[in-house]
Parts: sequence; C-alpha cells; structure tokens
Amino acid sequence: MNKSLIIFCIVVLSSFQMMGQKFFTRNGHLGFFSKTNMEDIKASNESVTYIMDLSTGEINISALQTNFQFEKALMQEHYNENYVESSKFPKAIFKGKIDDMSKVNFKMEGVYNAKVSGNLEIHGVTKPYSVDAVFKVGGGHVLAETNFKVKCADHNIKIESSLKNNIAESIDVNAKADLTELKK
Amino acid sequence: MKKIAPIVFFVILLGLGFAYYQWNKPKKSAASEEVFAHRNATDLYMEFTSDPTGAFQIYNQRNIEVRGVMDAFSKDSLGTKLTLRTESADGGIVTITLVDEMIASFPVIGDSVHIRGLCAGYIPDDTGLLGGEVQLNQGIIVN
Repeated sequence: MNKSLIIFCIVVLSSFQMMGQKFFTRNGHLGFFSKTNMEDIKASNESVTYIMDLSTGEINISALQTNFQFEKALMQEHYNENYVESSKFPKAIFKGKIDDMSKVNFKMEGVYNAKVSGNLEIHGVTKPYSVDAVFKVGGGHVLAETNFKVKCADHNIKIESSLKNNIAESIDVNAKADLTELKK
Repeated sequence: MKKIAPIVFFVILLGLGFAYYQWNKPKKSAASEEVFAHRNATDLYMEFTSDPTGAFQIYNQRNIEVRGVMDAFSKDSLGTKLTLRTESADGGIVTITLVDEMIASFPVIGDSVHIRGLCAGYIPDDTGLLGGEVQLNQGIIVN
C-alpha cells in the first residue's frame, strides 16, 4: 500500500468518526458593529458557547450580554442598562439548523457554504433568521462563521431620538467559532 | 446680567467636565470594585443551577471572590481565561476572563486558585452533555 493511500484512509476514517458527534466551544466569538456618520460602535464577546450536532446540523449559541466588551465604559453601561436591559434579559440565544445538510460534508475536509435558519432571541424578543454561513472542516475542527444584520427595532430595542444619528438602525453581526469534539 | 454670566459659565464648565469624565471613565474591574461575596466555585455554581434567575439578580456585575481548582487555562490575543472545576454532577464550571495586565506567573492546571471577577451570569447546559457555566469577567488573580 503506498503512502498516499494510507494517508487517504486515515483522513476518511477520522472524518467518519466526526459524524453523529457534537462539536462545541465555550470560547466562541460574537461581535457587532454599528456605523453612522457620527460614531462607530464596536463590541465583542469571546466567551460564547456554540454547540453543533454534525449529524443533524443543529446549532445552539448562547452569549451573556454583560460579557460584550466595548471600547468605552459608558457605551457598555448604556448597552446593558438602556438597550438590551441585560438585568432582565441576560442572554442572547440562537437555536437553528443547517437548511440543506447535503451542502456540507463533515466527512471530508473542505470549505462549505450553507444557509442556517433558526430563531434568535435578543432582549426577550425572538425572531426568525436565515443567514449564509461558512464551515471549514479539517484537522478535527469545524470552523464556523457568519455575518448578518440585526435591526434594533425587530427586537424592541428602542433608541432615543437624540441618539438616532449615533446608533445604526441595522447592526452588523459577526459570529465565529472554532468547534472541537465534545467528549463526555 | 453681569452677575449671572459667571454662574452660567461655571455651570457649563461643570457640565463639560462631567461629560468628559463620563466619556473617559475607566471600565469597572475586579481590581477597582468592592468585593461583594466570597464563594468556592462549587457553591457559586450550585446557587446558579438551583435558581438561575435569583442568583443572577444577586450577583449580576458584582465582584465575587472565588476559590477553586484550575481545570483549564488559555491565553491568546483575545484574552486570558481561567476555568475552575466544580464538584457538580453535570460537570459545570466557573470561568474567569482576566483584565489585560502583566501577570508574572500564571497558575497551572490542578492548582488551587483564588480569583476575583465581575459576575456576568450563567449559561445552562441545554444538551445535558456539557455542564453549565458561570462566567466572571474583568477578573484578577488574588493568589
């Protein structure tokens, strides 16, 4: 048996092992960016839990609102107290699924584009979302990433008229996670 | 009019000073806030699992001093994070993201550690596989 055939067999066998397993991280990223002529506001949370079932394509994401870090303490205070009201609604939660599992082959290393649909709960308001995501499979990892927009009004986040020019109506969101096998 | 002008000027100056302070005030951290409670990692975790809402109302953004055994440690461009194990049946953990500061020596896995952090809340384990997580941020290592 030549060397390349052995390597091929190892890759295929290890990839088969990935099916039916749950992959996860507790160090996922969730960031958002609001751009207006007056001000740019950026925040990120690097302690986001992502759990993904590779056999069904189900994805659960949970983030604590108070873990979003802003450049300025005042922005962070306003975000938690006035907008997402984190003492009442401490978490942002996404529960969804890859629409078409035939487009993603977790058995094989590669980069796959797929739509993920599900429900996003922010500020106690749950809305359906359908987003384009990229899954990079390889080396026992699944790197998942998506960019999408969230409208503040959709989640009943009210922005005072005096700050309408400072905060975008539609916020750019980036979600990114390096998932590894959940071993129990 | 001449008498009012200095008062108006003073009030405006005071307002500007307050606005400048508000805009530039430092972030809260475990180093600057008064300690609200001392807990071991298991007790803190169990309080959140038995009553997530009640515990969050008590500890939200409060500075908590926690003792526990370090289970994992990560340091990268995104920050430094310690994980403390608990004795809960579901394998739950307490994690602390440290403030950016120069730390001479970090504990190693298995070490008994003593840290402080601002409580960010609790992420339950809906899958039954992972165990829940109590998160603290802006933390410091006490010893």
